[in-house]
Amino acid sequence: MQGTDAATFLNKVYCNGFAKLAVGKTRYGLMLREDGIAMDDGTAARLAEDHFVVTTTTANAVSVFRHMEFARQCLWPDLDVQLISTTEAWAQYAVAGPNARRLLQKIVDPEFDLSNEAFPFMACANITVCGGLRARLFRISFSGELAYEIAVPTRYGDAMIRRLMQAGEEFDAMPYGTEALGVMRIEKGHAAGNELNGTTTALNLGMGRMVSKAKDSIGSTLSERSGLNHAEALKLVGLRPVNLSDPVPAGSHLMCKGDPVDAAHDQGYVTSACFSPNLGHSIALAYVKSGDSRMGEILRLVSPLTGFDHEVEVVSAHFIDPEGERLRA
Amino acid sequence: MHDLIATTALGTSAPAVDHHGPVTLTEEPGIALASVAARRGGERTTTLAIRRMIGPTAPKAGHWAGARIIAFWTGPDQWMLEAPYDSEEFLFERAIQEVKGKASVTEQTGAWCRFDLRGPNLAAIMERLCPINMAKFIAGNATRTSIDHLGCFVLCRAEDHISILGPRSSAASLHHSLLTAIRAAF
Repeated sequence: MQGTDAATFLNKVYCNGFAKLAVGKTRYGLMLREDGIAMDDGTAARLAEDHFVVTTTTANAVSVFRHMEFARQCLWPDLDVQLISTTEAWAQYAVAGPNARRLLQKIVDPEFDLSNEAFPFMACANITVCGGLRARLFRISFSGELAYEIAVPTRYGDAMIRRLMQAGEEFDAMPYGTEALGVMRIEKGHAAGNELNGTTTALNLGMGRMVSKAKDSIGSTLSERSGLNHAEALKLVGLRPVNLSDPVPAGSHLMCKGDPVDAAHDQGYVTSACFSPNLGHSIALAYVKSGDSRMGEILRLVSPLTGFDHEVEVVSAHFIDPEGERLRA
Repeated sequence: MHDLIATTALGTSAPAVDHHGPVTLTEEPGIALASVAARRGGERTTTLAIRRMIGPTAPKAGHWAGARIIAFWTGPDQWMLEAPYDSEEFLFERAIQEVKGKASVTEQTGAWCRFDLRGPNLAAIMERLCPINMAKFIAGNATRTSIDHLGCFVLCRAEDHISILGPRSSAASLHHSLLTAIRAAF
């Protein structure tokens, strides 16, 4: 995304503020539909005053691009902003874990300082790797670990992953897939497609305060509708089984103890679930009515179709490293 | 100079070449690409910059122009530049200098794979792949179309030479579509 009005444009399509993002910094952004429902999230990295690299969730890349083109051409045709997909132009890898910096220091050319002071959490930069190949480095983390994403021109993508694996041998580096990433983001309490399911708002996601009142953006006005902001609104929470050997299956519904199991007494539902190898038991993310004020409450997790009925405790969605010390290390 | 070895879009070190009947299909990895989109008020400066880079006037809708460096039209006040990779790896940087801040330039080299069809009656192949009116698609024409659900650019370089640019990560699917159409036509 380029143009003299690129920052102004981003400020209108994301509900949180982007105008003051410094060059060399990346920010998490939440995008609302016109009706105030959360549409997508991602990051925008400011490579220059008039140049941002915007990422979306994988599945929504095309719909977000289309949405932005509509906004650019039809809502604000007077703004000077140009969009082009660069998804295929760069091969991008996440390098995550406590040794991520040490590994990358072997790949990134030595004139670029990767220390925590020089290249802190959410930094971004144009760099060179392996003796002069142009690349981009972003210190962003979906896994919750100390992590970077490094991008090289696509034709060197194959060579780059081989070089990363070779350089990472001494740190026991291994490839990880989306299943592992899915577990790590649930442990971290990061929302994904299951939570951004087309029915939920920033408030439901626990990000209500991100919707800036200091500016106008797509969806900000309709997100204030009373029906979306009542006291019993669903809030994203974590769930832990009372009996730690129980699973916490996705799709199950939550009921208060003693209540009949029917739609009228529904307290919420599980969106994402996994076995956490770090905690040694199953965990889940769920939307629960007024969930943020029910920490520690024991609820029944039920699935009448499968006969499932167990007790779970409402806990913070941030199961691991809630202070974010790992990703800022 | 870095020491990484590039792969082609089909994942090999040497580009694919397929012969069938009178037609040759080649993978063409040796190109650099850069998108140039005029900023508000920068339309004239951008058009002149394109002209300085390619020689002739910036091409109008549905056309390409140039020789060593070419440009094809991709939208209002928007073009894609294409040049030999070996001598113009940094085509985008050159374009940035030429447009003097009046256009947004984006490197697109890795974003597209290119396949070239050479031989007689290429219309018989293209008509099986996309809705381009091949009777009127002559040398100098360039357009965007859909081939097997992939957004592609098609350039008619000469009566017996057509280039197809498609999304790089779908190169194998596009290659398969092209081969299938060639075999169906000949």
